[in-house]
Amino acid sequence: MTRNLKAAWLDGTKAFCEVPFASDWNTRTPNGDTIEDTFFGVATTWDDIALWCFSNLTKGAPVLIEGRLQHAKIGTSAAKGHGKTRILVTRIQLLDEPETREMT
Amino acid sequence: MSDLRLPDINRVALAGRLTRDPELRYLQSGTPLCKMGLAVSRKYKGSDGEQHEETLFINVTAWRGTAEYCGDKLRKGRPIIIEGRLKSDEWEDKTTGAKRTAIEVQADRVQALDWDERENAQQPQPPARPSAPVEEPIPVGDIPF
Repeated sequence: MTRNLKAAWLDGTKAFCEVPFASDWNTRTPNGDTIEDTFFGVATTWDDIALWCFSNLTKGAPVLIEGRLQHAKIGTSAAKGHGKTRILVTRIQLLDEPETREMT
Repeated sequence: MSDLRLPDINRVALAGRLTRDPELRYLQSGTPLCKMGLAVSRKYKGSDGEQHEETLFINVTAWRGTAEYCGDKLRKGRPIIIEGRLKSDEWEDKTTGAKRTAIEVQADRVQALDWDERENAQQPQPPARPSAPVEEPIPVGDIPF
């Protein structure tokens, strides 16, 4: 997780929370060098998952996320292909014990 | 911070149809890359009880042998399955100056889900089977009389 979370309640009942995260991996270039690459993404959570994230996750928390990609239209544009891709979380799991982590 | 070794997991699997013909290009180094557009549809029942359909449009990039396969064999509209990882891209909007981000998939496996009709059309048809067996003529010098 790259930032602390902000929760939102839509219509006063539906919880929503965006989880910004970074995922690193090492890759080998054709000339044999190993380089590190990082994917920065924002995972979207709703309802119980959003509430759980808001209660349990802080910046730096290691998480495992499962979900699907979703196309979100920007504004009122209904043009095909015009919009943003977001990651909709169906399962999220903390990979460490919160007490072992330095709070930021 | 704990000394946890984070697993390097960044996997995505998508099945859908190509929204345009794949664009195969070569870098100056000679490395092939192929850019494609993929549409992935999902049907679901909403809280109103009605069937809904949503479609994800996403850009996919393939490299090297996979890129050449895509550029040669795939065309707009064909159903494919891809496996790969997500890649983020960030740039500044030239008109507004706002920071923009986009997600694309770097595919490491691409497979067509149908048969290539062009390939089938170009394949030579097997020769028609003769109705009666054709006997090979015996060379004149081999006849003993």
